Amino acid sequence: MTTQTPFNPTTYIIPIRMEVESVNGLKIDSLLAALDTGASYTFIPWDVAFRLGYDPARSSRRQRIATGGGIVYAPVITVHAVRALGMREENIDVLCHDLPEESNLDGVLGLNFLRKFDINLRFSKGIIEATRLA
Amino acid sequence: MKAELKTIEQLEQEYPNECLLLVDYQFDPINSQIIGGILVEHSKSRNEIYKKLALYDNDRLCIYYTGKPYEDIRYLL
Repeated sequence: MTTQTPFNPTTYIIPIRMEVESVNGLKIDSLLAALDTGASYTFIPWDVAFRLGYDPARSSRRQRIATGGGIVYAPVITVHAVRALGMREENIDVLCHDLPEESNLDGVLGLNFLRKFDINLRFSKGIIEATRLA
Repeated sequence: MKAELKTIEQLEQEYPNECLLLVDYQFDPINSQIIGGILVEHSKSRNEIYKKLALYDNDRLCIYYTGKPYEDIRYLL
């Protein structure tokens, strides 16, 4: 199955809608995330993780990450599922990290989600094609 | 605040350059866009909206910014 998601090819980032499911899969929060093939992990804000029933503060897993602001340690949690680009991926690790308020972004859709698919960024048409890998 | 379903166009007009918290939002899966929802919070500050998240037990919740990305900011994520 291949999905096609429109995007604006002229902006400085590729903003996309990302939905994150709660611990029991019954609640969903919709966020604005940057599609970032240079980011190893998917990020969500701490407060979103709390609202969805996760407790990043109690996670025993920490990931050292390099950001524009320097090196930080962010907790890693496994969420029930992440939905983006017309796809849904279960049991995916995400980092809990708050981006600067001025970014107007809630999170990042990173490689640990994107690598499940063949991603084709068609800048000439403003379409992202995603095909699930076998 | 009165619970009323509004379209994104209405919300962008009424609350320009603000961060909105919508419940029971409507999503267009074809275009991957939010098309409406019930406004429960709004603020110029995204962090203020984050602080309100825990107050809502709704099944579907959306954080939506009505402005455009800052023209003078480049992103290094």
